[in-house]
Amino acid sequence: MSNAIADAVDAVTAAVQVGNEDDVERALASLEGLDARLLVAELFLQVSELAERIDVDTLRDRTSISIPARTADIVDAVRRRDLAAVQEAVSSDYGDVLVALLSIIAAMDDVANGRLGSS
Amino acid sequence: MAMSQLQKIAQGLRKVGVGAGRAADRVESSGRDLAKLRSRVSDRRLSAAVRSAGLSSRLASVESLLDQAVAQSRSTAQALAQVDEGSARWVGQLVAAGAKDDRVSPAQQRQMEKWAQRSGAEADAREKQQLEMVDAIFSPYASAAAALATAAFPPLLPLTSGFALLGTSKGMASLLLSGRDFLRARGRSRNDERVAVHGMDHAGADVLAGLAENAFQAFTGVDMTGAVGVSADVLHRVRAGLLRGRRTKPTAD
Repeated sequence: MSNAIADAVDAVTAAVQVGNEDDVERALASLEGLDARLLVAELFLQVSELAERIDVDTLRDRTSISIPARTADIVDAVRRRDLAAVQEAVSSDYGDVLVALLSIIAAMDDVANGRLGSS
Repeated sequence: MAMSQLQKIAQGLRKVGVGAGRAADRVESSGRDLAKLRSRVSDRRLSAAVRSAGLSSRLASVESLLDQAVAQSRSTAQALAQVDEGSARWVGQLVAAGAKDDRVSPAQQRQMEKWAQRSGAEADAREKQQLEMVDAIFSPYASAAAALATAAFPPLLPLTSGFALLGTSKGMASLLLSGRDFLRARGRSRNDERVAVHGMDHAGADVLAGLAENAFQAFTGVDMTGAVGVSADVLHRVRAGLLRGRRTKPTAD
């Protein structure tokens, strides 16, 4: 169960890095029906882990992936485990929170692994 | 081979491997139980009683069967562990083969490498981390809902009911957040909050907490109970959002 979420999130972020629509769609489909709270938890874990390796300023300078305007606030809120603050920074609902966190993970993973524009 | 096929095979292989690894743990645990049972069967007093009842040959056959079962469980656990290790190796070989294929990007290779490296034990550890994170993220809201219901009931009930009736869930969620901050400021533990229910109308508090949770869900879109999974509609919007956000040209060199 949990591994399915981690694997699916990896697949989504890899697809976002490549920018292939079909891969993004296929990877997202594997998330359907999974526990919405566990998905948020996995995204928080991945953002927290990647934030240990790369700061937001460096990310902004080097990423080829579009990240939210308030990425620094979002990362800070994730570190505090504060979902309400993440939503406030995204200014929208659950779907947009997922978009924001997945984009940040894809961008951070891309930059942290030194493989910019890997398509 | 198309990338999507390669990914499917790699993911499928690791699922089999991780499943085999978990099964190996369970079989090993069963083997230990069997070994304990075997030692009980050989207990001197039991053996003496069985001999006196003229059932020695039966006991010997039970002992023999248990010995076989213990030995088989060991070999089965070893075989399952080999499947786990083997699948990781196979995925590694797939990744290496994929690297030669120019349709496989470095990001996709990296993703498959992650799958290859994830053992059953790591998957279990990740599950534990996820559950702890769920608790860290969502329990403040549940606590705040319960505490608010406790602290404010009954004066707040008409007010919160009004919020619910009017559909102003955002207002309710704000109340929840205020309740959480209030509790943090008072330095109360979650246990204290539960204890504070004492003397209150539990049914009424439950109703209020339920309303608060519904309001939270309406506000955040996340079901606090975990009963509702990620919907296709949400994922459709996520797809659009992710693809909309993808830049066509890298900004870095």
